[in-house]
Amino acid sequence: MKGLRTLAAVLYGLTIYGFIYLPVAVLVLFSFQSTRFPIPPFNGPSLRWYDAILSDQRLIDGLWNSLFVAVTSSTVAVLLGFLAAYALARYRVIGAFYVRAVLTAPLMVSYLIIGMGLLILFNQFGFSKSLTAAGVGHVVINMPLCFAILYSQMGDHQANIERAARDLGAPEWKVLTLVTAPMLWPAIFASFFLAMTFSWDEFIIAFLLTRFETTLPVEIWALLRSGLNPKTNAIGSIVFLISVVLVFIVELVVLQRRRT
Amino acid sequence: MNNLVNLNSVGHAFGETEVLSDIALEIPSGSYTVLLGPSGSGKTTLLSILGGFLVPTRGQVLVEGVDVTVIPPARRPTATVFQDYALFPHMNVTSNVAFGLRMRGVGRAEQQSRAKEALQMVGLREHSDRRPHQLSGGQRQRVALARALVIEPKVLLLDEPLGALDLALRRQMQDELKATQQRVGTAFVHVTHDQEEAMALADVVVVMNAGRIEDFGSPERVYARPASRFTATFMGESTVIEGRVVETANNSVSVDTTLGQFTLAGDASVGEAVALGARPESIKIRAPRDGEVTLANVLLRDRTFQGSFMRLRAITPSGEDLLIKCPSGTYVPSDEAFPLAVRPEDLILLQR
Repeated sequence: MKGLRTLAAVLYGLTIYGFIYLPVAVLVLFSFQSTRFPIPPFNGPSLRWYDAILSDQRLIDGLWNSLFVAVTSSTVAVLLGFLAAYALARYRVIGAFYVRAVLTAPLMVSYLIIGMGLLILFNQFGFSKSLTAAGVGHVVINMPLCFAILYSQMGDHQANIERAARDLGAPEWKVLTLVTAPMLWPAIFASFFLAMTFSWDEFIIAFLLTRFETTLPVEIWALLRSGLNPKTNAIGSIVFLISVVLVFIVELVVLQRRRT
Repeated sequence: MNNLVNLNSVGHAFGETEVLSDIALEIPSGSYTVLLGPSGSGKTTLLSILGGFLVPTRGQVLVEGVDVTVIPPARRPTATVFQDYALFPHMNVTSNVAFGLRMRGVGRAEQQSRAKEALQMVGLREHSDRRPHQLSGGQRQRVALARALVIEPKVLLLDEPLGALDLALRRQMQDELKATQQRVGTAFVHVTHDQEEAMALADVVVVMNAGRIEDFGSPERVYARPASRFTATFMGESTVIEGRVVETANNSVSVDTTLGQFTLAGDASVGEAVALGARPESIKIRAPRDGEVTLANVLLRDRTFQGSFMRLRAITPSGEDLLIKCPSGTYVPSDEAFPLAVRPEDLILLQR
């Protein structure tokens, strides 16, 4: 009976993980294909397609652009989210409930709507499509997340610690930089890398708001239009690898915090 | 002694709720003042007003004659030890203690040496590299104390500093606090709801209730001669018997109560509603002798063994509850009435 139950649990686990990871595994496997089509049978392994990526200047540019957009937009999102969370957690804000609701609302709006909204708005103001425009879009989608994470970490205990700092003579900006931010460091770190992960593989907003210089997901999409090719598998594997690294960093920080 | 802190008719309201009304208080320099009261008595609010975390809705706070009512905590000559210690979790013990000096622009070398000195004083020198979460409750409390004292405040404010510690440690830290205060000579203002703590520490105890000061004075005086019914029951236990003044003579009053008439020293006017307080240890289980009077004839209701003494509750024929403390092993009849004697000078006249 017990053995049967264990067997069922193992089967269940395998099915779940298979369902989630099999497509990725196939993608990665066929990025090492030595022939021209990413379909069975598998021939290889070969680094031929990774070599092809490295010599494809558009993809490499896209990769750097993506990293640039991810880092800058996440920095801005964390900074804005932190300040908003601090204000709402520490000061009496008129209509605080509504301010909070409006701040977190973009979490529930689809990227398509946000992207289109920004596109129309930027058109009105004559702000041309660019990486900056896509970065602004990523701040819009990530700031609410950063805000929610940081706001949840600013409890009364922390407020008392800030009070102690003020009592010991710290001016407000030193309270923020020497006490509040370091105290919330793990949360700040986690929200930054989470924002980076989301920005890194975001497609719709980047697609709508960039033109000549664009991010990696948009370049991959362009590549896909010309048909399946192990090169797309290879670049997909790289995107996946970087996402995994980012998520691992977040997990590491969060777990580290739980242990202390 | 010169007054270090003066509170002039300070009042505070949170919205419609008045939490402090008309507080007048003088804190002499070098004294250990304890604000004692139940939760909701306004003692913590008063401490916040002293520390500058709260601007009172009415009245003035003066430190050395200077009006600091609206001065923020950072620029006040006060420092606070918080109830949860509020140590900086991301800094080690030395950095925690040096923080106030760092904010004052003291040089790094001096910061370190003064922080070390302060840690030495609280006996934590060897823990200076630890983080707060690696310390025990009592050690954190000491760090908080060192951190506040190192900036040499004129007044140190302590918000229930021993509240989070277990009983044995609380008594130990109590002794340490008192010793530290005497060594540094800073005025300490300490908030607590523990009357034993208050009696052990205070030079001056301020009994608070419902946003007002009920009583103010040395613990000995407040215990022996409480000024109000509340003080008599909150600072140590008492039996309070309601009555009315029927006769006054030269510095003595006769009070008529349900237990009969008692004459004692005091000053009140005829017809005034007063109460008599009796400390449990001043009531004797025996017929009165040499100057004593009969308090009542009572029946035992229940007894609690408390080690060296017993705590008895007895009931009078008119239904009053009396509290008595007697040495363990005292014979107490359990099913028949017995007399209680008290010296009239041990009865306390309570006019409030």
